[in-house]
Formats: sequence, C-alpha cells, structure tokens
Amino acid sequence: MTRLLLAGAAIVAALMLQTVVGYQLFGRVIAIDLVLVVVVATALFYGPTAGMVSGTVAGLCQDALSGGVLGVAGLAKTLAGFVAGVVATQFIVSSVIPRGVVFFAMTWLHGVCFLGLYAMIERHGIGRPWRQLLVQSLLNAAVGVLATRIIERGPEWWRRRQYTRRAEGRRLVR
Amino acid sequence: MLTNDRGPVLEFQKRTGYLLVAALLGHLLLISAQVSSQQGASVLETTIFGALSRVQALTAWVTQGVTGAWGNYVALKGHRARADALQLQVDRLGVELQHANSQARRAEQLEQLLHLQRTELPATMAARVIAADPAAAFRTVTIDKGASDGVRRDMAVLSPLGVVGRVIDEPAAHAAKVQLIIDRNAGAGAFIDRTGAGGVVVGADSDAPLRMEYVSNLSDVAIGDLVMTSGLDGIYPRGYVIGRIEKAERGSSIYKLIAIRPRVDFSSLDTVLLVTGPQPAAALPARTAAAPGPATATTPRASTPVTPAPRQASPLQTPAAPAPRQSSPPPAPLTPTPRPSTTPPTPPTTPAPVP
Repeated sequence: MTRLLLAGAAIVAALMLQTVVGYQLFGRVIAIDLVLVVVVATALFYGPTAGMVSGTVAGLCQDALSGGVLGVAGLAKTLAGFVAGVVATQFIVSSVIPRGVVFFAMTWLHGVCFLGLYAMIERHGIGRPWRQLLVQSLLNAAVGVLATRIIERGPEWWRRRQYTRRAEGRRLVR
Repeated sequence: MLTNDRGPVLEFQKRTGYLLVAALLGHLLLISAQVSSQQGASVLETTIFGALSRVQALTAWVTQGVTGAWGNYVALKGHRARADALQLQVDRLGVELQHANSQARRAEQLEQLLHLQRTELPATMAARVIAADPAAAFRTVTIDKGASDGVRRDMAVLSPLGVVGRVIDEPAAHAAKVQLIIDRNAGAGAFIDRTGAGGVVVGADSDAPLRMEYVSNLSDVAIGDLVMTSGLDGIYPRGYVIGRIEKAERGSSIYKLIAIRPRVDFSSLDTVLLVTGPQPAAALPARTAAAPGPATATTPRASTPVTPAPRQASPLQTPAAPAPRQSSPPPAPLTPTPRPSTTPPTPPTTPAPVP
C-alpha cells in the first residue's frame, strides 16, 4: 500500500513538474521526461509488475493531459516499465553507469514505441526527432541516476547528519 | 536460451506475463477505438483530464504565487526608467488611437452609405493558461475554463496579439485543452493582407513554426507581409493576425513554400480569450455558403485555399512588436482589423477535408 501511494504521488508530482512548473518557470516544455524517469525508477526499486502498472497509470494520465491519442504513451511506458523491471531483477544495476544505461535505453525504447505507434496511426507521423530523443535520453539518465541515488542514500545521510549534530551538541554541553 | 547462475534470464512469474499481455492488449484496443471512430475515448479521457486538471490548477496557483511574490516585490529594482518609457509610449499610442477612431467612424459612415454589413466584435471570455502539454511532440495548453463556464469544442482562442488556437476534445468541467496553431495537426484558413492571396496556415516542425500552403506560385508574396485569418474554416473569425511571412520561395509544384513567424509568443501565454459569441457579420455570407463542419482533432487541415478579393492594408495594423508577457488581468476585447468598406464579400467556396 505504501509502495502504491509513493509511486502514485511520484507520478503526480512528475506530471505537475513537467506540465505546470516547467511551463510557468521556463515558458516551454522541459526536455526531460520526468514521468518516464519515475516509471523506470519504480521498476528498478520494485520490479517488473510495479514498473508495468506505474507505466500504464502514468502513461494514461500523460495521454489524457496531452493532445495526442489516449493509450499511446500508456503502451510505451508500460513496456518501458516492464523491461526496466526485468532488467533490474536479472542484472545488477545498483552502480551509477549500469543504472544510467537503463534510463538511457528505456528512453529510447519509449521513444521508438511512441514514434512508431504515431507513424502507424497518423498519415505523416511525428517524424524522426532522433536528436531530441538523444538529448532527452542523456538528461533522463542524469536525472534518473541522481534521483535514485538521493532516494537510496538520502535517508541514511540524513540520519548520520542528525547523529553527528547530536554528538557535537553533547560534546559542547560537557 | 540466455541463462545466468539464477536460471533463465527471461523467466519471470507467469502472472506478470499475463498482466503485461493484458495491459498491452488493453492499450491497443483503446488506441484502435479512437483511431477507427475519430471520436476519442471521451469518458475515460475527460475523467482523467478533469481530475488532473484540478491538481494542475492548484499547482499553477502555488507556482504563480511564488513567482508573483518574487516578480512583484523583489525583482522590481530599476523599473522606474522602464515605466517612464512605457508612459511615453502610452501617450504616443493615445494620439494614434484618436486617429484610428476617426478613421473607424469614417469607415462606419461609408459602410452605412453603401449598405454594407457591419463588422462586429465577437464576444469573448478570458481564461488563464495553467499548464502545457506533457509530451513535447504536441503543442497544446490547458486553460482554467471548462464546460461549466460555457466552453465548447472548436471554440477559437485568441490573444491581444493574434490567433492562439482552438479548443480540442470535450472540455472538463473547469478546464479545457487548447491546440495551439503551431501544433503540427493545427490549421487555419488564411490570407495575405497586402494582396488578398488565400491559403491554409498549418503548424510546422521547423525553425519557423508555421507555414502557408496552397498559395499559387503566381501570387505576389513578399517577406514581412501580414497573414490573417480568413474566417472560412468556420472556427477562427475573420481578420485576426496570425503572423508575418519570414520566407517565401517558389515551390517545385504550383504552390509557393511560405514560412510564417507567428505574432503570438507561445512560450509566455498567460491569459487568452475564447470567442464565445457570433463571429463578425462581414464573414458570414462566405461561411454560410461554404458550411464547413468543425474540423476533428486528427484532421484539422480541412480547408482548400480560398482567394479573397484584394484588399488595402489597414491603418490599424502595426508592425510585429516583440511579444511581451501578457499581464494577469483579463485584457479588453480584441479589435478586429476593420475591412475596407469597398471590399466585396468573399466568393463562396467549399472547403474539402484533407485526409
């Protein structure tokens, strides 16, 4: 239940950052797909089922807020979440580089699915924005690695900091 | 089969596999239903959109509060000189307005003398832009007015600088999606103000975000010409500025390749106006004869080129100014560019939908 709530809150926060805060502060859509980062991170932490379910929910929400066809981002994110979860269960992806590679590869998988589906649905499709996709993959990898590191090491670092402060306080009192 | 020390690499629980297949099939069915019917999964989409747009409105309120506090109190240093310069500009524009008013009165008298139909302002409703599209491939924004405020599908959306776009999909109770005119699926009937050459303006994924199609190679087109809505698409009222021609080349077919720089700065949209009332009466005869249906979300380029009669440039049309961030209070209703009184009505043409 806690996992579900955490993943849901992370998806909503990513959507709001992507659509509202990014637009209000920078005046345009930011190049990072934060929703995909959350889906892949959920898959890395909780496995393929959680990745798949979070991908479905996040993708459908993204489609509903977007001007596109409902289900396209949903399908692409479901697949990306599932594959990321399978990779995380079969390989060790706890260090920086393998984790960055997972985020990078999942962005490409998502992008190819998204563009491919639109190429089938629409007459002209979206085109082949490979350069934007490359930039997005690199940014997603950087943000994803950083975010997962913070989630993993943040609480420990905070506890240590509190402990050190308390110890210093005691030393000063003596 | 790929294996490692823990067994086959791709051996995962059966239940997960079934779930994946079910999810993918569900998505495919959802997509197929929308593509085949062209209607969209309105209930599911509107429900999710309605719920999330409330969260978006709340987030926008908080973000605007924070940025507003910064902009209104902290970042005001050195704005005195700017205010003085703007005051001078207001004084100069006041004089220009007096001149324009006298010209308008004269045009009105001439219209009465010639028994021409009057050009009227459409009724508008102000709305605030609260969010952008989460996918970079689409150019849509969310506004904070919805069905309960009287917003309907295919309503034209304008700004004080020109055309913004139109409402797509069924609006939620308190929010609606607006497809910007620079979206690659957007389109509008348009004409070049200087010569009257008609065509269709569509979104483009290039440096200049708009291009004008179906303008003959024989037409007189110059860089800097103003492009305006023709009103023949049945969505946008006639006489509103779209942008200026940035590039015009002779095409390999019979049509020119024209790139347009839009007048509206789409990265800083804050307040927009929805056209709620009747469109200008001047454009009605042509539209009534053409009777075009509202364009669907997937096939909005539903207009053939139209050629309005040549027109004189209006004295009220100012050169494209750098787009300022629109202020938060709702702006006054727009003033459409008045048509010269001697211009005959546009000949009726029947737009044919482009697949």
